[in-house]
Amino acid sequence: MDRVKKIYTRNEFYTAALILVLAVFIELRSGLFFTSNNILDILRGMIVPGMLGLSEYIVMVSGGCDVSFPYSAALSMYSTIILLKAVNFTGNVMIAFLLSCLFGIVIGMVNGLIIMRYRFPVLIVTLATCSICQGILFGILNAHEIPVIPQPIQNLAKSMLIRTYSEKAQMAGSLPLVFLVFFILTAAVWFLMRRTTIGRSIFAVGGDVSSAERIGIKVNFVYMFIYGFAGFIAGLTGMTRVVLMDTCHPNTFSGMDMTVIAAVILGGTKVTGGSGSITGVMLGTMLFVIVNNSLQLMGIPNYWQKFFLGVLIVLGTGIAAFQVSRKRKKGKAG
Amino acid sequence: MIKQFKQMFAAGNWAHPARDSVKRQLLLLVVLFAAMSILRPSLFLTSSNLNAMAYQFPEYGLIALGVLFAMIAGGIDLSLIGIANLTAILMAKLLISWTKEEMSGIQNAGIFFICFLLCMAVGAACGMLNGCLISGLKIPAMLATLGSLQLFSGIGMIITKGKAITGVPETYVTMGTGKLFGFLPVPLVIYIGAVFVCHYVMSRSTFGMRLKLMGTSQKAALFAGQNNKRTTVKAHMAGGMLASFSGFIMLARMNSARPDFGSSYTMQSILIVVLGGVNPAGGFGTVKGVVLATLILQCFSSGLNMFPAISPYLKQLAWGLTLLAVMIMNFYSRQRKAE
Amino acid sequence: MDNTILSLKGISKSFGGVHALDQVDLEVKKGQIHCLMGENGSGKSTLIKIISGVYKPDQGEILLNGRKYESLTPAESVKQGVSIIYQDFSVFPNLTVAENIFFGYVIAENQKLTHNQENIRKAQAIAKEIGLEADMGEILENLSVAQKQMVAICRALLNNARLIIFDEPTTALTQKEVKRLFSLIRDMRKKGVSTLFVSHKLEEVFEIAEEFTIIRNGKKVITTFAASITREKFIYYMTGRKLSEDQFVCKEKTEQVPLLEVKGLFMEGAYRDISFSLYPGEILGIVGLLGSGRTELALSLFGMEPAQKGQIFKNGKEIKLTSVKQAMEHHIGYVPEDRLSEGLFLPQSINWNVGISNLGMYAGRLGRLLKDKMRTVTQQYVKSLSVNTTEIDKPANFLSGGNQQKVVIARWLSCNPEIMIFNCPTVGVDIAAKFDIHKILRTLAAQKIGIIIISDDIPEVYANCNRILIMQKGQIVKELTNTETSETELYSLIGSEYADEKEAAG
Repeated sequence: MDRVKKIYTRNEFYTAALILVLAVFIELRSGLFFTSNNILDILRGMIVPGMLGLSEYIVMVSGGCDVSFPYSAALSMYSTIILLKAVNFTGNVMIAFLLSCLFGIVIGMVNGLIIMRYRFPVLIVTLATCSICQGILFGILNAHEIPVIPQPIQNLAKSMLIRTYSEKAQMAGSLPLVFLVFFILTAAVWFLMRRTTIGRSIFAVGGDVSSAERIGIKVNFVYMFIYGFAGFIAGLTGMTRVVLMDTCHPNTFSGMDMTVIAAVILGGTKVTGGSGSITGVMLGTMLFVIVNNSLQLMGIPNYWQKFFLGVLIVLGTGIAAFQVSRKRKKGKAG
Repeated sequence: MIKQFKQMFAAGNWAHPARDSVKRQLLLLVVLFAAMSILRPSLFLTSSNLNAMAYQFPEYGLIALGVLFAMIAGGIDLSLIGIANLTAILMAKLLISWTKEEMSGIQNAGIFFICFLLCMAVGAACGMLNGCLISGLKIPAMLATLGSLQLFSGIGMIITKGKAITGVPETYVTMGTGKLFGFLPVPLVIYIGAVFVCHYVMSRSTFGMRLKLMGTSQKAALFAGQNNKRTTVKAHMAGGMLASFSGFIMLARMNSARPDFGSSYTMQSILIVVLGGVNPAGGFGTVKGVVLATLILQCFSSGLNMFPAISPYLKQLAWGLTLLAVMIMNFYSRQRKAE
Repeated sequence: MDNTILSLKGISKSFGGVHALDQVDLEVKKGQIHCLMGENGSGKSTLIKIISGVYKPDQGEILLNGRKYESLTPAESVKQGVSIIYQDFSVFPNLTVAENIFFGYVIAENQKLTHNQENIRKAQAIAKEIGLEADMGEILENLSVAQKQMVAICRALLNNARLIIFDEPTTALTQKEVKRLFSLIRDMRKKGVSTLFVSHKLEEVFEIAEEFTIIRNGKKVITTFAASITREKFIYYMTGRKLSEDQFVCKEKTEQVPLLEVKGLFMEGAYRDISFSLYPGEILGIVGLLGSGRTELALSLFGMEPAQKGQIFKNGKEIKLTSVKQAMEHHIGYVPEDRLSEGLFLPQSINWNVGISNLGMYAGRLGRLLKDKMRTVTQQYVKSLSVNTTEIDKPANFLSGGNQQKVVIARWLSCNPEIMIFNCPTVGVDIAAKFDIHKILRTLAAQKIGIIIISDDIPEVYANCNRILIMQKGQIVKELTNTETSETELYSLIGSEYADEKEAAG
């Protein structure tokens, strides 16, 4: 019984409930929610924000808030593409991913070095590095859209994992092969954060840095790892985006920082650090994707999106804050 | 003992370098100004350039002042650009609906004035919402203002249906882009006025003291009999009103209002405030520092524009590097001081 | 010597020319319970850090298990079996109990994967051994303070600690929990684990320590056995001065109407049936152990957490204390228990710390702050309370504990209070400053301000309160005057276990 009670207190439960409510509501209104093509649409829509969400999740658990990932992802992917185009690349598509991840790691290490050495607020450091990435991207590399990407990537873009056809919606649906990257990454991050020492150290650092140092955790190494890995994910996501869109657009991640952060927080990750779950991140991302998609499905004009996003964030954080204050009150009596 | 040390490190060390950081900023400003003047005298030191600069920085400078209030309170405000855009949109709509071609000057002025008051009230109301979310519902400031940013932009989008609103009465535009006494740009006058008021509030009023103490420790403030809710709401209302003025200026300059303008202003204003020596933990910061940082950024920005070989995007690169450099310099100077 | 686990000889350490430690010797034998005592600033934290390898001594020898260490590192110290349990326990509130217990072990053993069954089993075994009853999968922040401390002890034991150093372990524990901790320490002694106990509470030394060492101003004053010390000698060793205080005597009551009267105050889960009166010139003491409801009562009298039922009368007229603002309007001041986080704005100036509660008086037109007026008033109170500084623009965190407390008192004095409530007024304050503050309290009482001291420091209450209320489990169980009781009786009345010990010690 205790276990059941515990579920009610967790943020993830409410997010899941909200998703269910939305799903049912949309199904009732349009009858098109539980169709195979829509489900696949949602899954596809989750790939990029989900991956970025995982990166942000790791940073948030350690107590920081990273806003540089949109442009570090863009810079990684763009650098890779122009490099590959310059050598007329026709090799294995994995190399493209590898390169992009490498770029990402390098950028991430910059964050890591500064935060490790000076322990500045992460929000501000990443604001600065985001600016730097933008500057390099548009100022030095003169980035613009590259519609024709190297062939191996194009081939991957056309490869599908699942193909379906929905009678109800009279529409075909598909899930790209590159979804596997998302899936594997999620599993890897889950394992990292739940079962490895380094992952638990990230939780420890997010809980109490000085205690972490006292029990012997190499906090500096942990910080480097966090931001290096976050950079890795950013680079990975950059290339994934190229595959998904079948084009390379440097502004493709613009504005995603806020939505990803909101999704992660809605999923129950505390912005103060030390707690959060992968399930929550996925649920939060799913919620956002559904809201985005469904607004279109229900025929609500595009320009209501931001408003709903705001309402969601306020509601979500309001509930979380309310729960925290209720817990505190309970602890006080006696 | 350990707790004491932690607190000292967190906030106390920012207190005193404030004075030195202002000196350093002043020096930087002078150097920058001189450098730009020397390198491109024909472009930089001209009245037209100084003019252009004086028209540009008030917009984000006002928003930076709003962020200052929020940060000293111990939080942050990411929604100010949303408030600015929203008030610009509302102002535009009201002006368009209420003014008619055949109205006299006095009537126009009257209507303008009423619209100002209404839109300023909306700005204040938005700020009040922020304050209530943060102090009433206890939502962390970053999240609350993240959400309210979407809300305010969203409302703006709903009103404009995603497009820009144009067709604001000529008189408004001329007023907003004109010059007082022939040489002072109106936006600059507004900014200077705001700076004086903010400085007074921050450094000479009881509210300023309450704000800084609450920003240092909410708990201690409660035990000292302070009404933290009221102080927080007031601080964010101030930010909202400052943002609304920014909106008025933007509307006049662009002769249109959009729900998504100035998305870079958010980051820029946080940069300015940190550059201005404000401690993100709360409790310390000066209007002087923020103004200087604003001017520095403007000089830098305009200066870079004068080198056509340098892409404007390099500005962003420069800002990012500068922010990191300044923080690192502050870090080492604090260390030296502690020894 | 073979049975010595820790031996420090002639340890000296300076920071920037200031001697923190000067030729200090300390010896802890195997399986011994040794107490280290000293005032704030005496050097005891520095000594601890040297033992744990965080600091390196400028001079002197460190021997662990008979082996000399030229440069001891924290890792080596842990390896040699030295574990420190800090006041905040250094635990992770967001991790599980099991993880908190085995994390240090995992790091030391360089394991890459945690959460294996072996680790959890080990943690469970240790927890069982010392009697910690908690679910291994429970998140730590849901545990009580005493349980968290036991988790920290488990962690130390899992790291094969042979010497556990406790830094002020009993500050946040209830009486029962202190008893459990002490019996645990005795159990560990039987297993050969030594304990070095840093404390300033004499009663605890009497109860648990076999040997104790007092240091003062960086020098070792004495190492001796618990049996051979009296309170006076103890104060002399700790402060170097013969300090004593007479009992407070209240002048004859002339008023008929009490300054403050409460009837039937009630707060669910905290206290009930609280009724008492306070006359001007009195110092009323409300004593009780942690958990007796005394802090909740204090906060209710200040309006911060209003009572749910009951009546409050001031000078005969009924008043409502449902907010701090109202309390201040009725000229009630409150000096909180935790001056660092509740009382002061540490990085802000002394001037502001004093002036903040009286801004109404310093407000001019248009909300203007009358800075000169505030400064004058602050200077006045800083002087009259003998705060150890003349620069009121210095941040408050530069002051010592006693002076910091004086700043908080100054703040409320500047509001012209009629009633002052002090919650543990001298906790963490050096003995000399403690007596200073007591003198201040008596002066205030002589000025006809009604004073309430809420505390668990029996000697303090006994010497300074003319009337004492005993609180136990949320109720007032007895009212006494200080002349008709004794410290021993007070201890037994609040339910303290020390009563028997003290009787035996004489």
